[in-house]
Amino acid sequence: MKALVIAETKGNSIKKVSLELLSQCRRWGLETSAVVVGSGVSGLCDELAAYGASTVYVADDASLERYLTLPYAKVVSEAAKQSGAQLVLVSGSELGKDLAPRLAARLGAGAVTDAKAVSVDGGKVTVKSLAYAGKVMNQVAFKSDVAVVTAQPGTFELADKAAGSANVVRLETPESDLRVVLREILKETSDKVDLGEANIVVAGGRGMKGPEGVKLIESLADTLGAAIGGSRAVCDSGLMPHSCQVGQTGRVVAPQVYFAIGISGAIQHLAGMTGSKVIIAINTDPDAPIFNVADYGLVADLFEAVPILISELSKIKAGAATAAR
Amino acid sequence: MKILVCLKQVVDVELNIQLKDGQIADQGLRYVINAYDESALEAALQLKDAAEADVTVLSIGPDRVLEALRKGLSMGADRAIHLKDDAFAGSDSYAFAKAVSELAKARGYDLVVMGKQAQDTDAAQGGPMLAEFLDWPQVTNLIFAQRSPEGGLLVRRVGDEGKEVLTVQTPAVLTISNDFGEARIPTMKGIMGAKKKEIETLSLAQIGVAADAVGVAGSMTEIVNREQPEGRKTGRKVTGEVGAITRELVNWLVNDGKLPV
Repeated sequence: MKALVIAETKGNSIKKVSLELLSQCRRWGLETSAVVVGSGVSGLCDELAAYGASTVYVADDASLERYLTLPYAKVVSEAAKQSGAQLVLVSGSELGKDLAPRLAARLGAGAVTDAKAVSVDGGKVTVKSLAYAGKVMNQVAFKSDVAVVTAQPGTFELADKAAGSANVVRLETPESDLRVVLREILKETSDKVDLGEANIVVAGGRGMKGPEGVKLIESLADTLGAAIGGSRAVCDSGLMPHSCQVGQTGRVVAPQVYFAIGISGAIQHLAGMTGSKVIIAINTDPDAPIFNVADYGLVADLFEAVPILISELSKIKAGAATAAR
Repeated sequence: MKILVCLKQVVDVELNIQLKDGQIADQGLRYVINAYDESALEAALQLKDAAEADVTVLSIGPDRVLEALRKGLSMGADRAIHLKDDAFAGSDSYAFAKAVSELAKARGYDLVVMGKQAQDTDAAQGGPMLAEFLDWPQVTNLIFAQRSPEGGLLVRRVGDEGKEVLTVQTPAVLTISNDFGEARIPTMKGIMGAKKKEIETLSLAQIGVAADAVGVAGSMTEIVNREQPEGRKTGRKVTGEVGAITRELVNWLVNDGKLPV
């Protein structure tokens, strides 16, 4: 079977999630291509080859610097057709959510959003994904020749880099389509750790009470090099920006470690984080539903526990730094 | 400006949902308008508040969707379409988008608006697929929309790098985020007025869609199995003196190699 991974970039590198998708295609033993679209992205082909892309389709032009549906859909559908891929994989980012269904419709293909597991067996793709706020797991088969699937970061494991070089195919830059024009991007989180890409997420809920609580969460995140998340309640109240919201209506995350601090664990929040490898919960209410999904729960006041956590972890970090010297 | 707003009636996902013979068990289910679609209607009504517009709400399904349409009318929509056809059962996003694209073409809408996703499937596919079938531009995950003095709309959406400000020419498809703002609550006047408005019932044949273009036959995906996912196992929950239990947690994290470094 042939697969195509739509590679996403951040700054001057390929996003980890795209490399995870490539890693999984190699694990399946598929003949895999990648497509990368942007400005100054030609240098990223080797990186894609190192994770298993044997062909890389590139559209590199100043006009493609920012994502826009119409030109990106044109380039990516061209890559899908040329590659003959029966499986097209893309991350469940905002770009992926906007692009994947449009691409699927153009290819006459079905799509599944946020796969939890994918199997490729005898040329058939089946995908498991959650519905009803995580209460039902659907197993979905495709009737179309092509299957378009999105997956959140952390769904598949990153493999080690290997030596390899890709056949590079340059795709034409589409003519600009003025029906949609991007005027401006109001950046919210430029230098912070990206929530979807982070190995560790520290998330705060209503228990933070106010700005003092948020500072504690931020300080713990700094100590751990973690991304910051929040429950819907704190994002709606303006304590944290909406870009931090973890849950069914916000971001779905699956980091190595998830700290849920002062979060009771409403169903819509759980739907966004129960894919995490390890969940730590800190809450004063011993009956909070978050404890049902936590691997390790502290029944404690976050204003007491988090400062101790920060100081203990800082000590360990300082110790490790000394040992390394 | 003619605006079509898609209202999906979904199972209330806050309730307990059980499977019976591989299907969602009917018992104890309640249906509500997909909350994102209510935000979509709010977006359309705000455009209508600012300048002349004609807002139609559309819902597909059995007679229970009339309740959703009635609510849409009482919030301020001008008219309602009930697309009712047994052949529609089992449709995926692809088949939904095919059917709505025919309706949009036949009725000449300038704008089709819907929630960014539906709370039952969270698929978020219907809008972009519809835009593709119509060959219209799309803007997804919208948090703000107003008419642009240069024509078309000025919109804001949440993208991966922050809020994007865009202009989009009509006809277009927009999908709306829950961050657009709370949907308005119907007033008593709105509720009384809605009773006088007619709901148009249409079959697939009446909008020029073949029965095999929708339903299981017209879908590109098929649910072959449903199961209740295994919940996470509950781990340990510790109480006690905060200093001691927090240090214990740190030991567990570090000694068991739980923390990626």
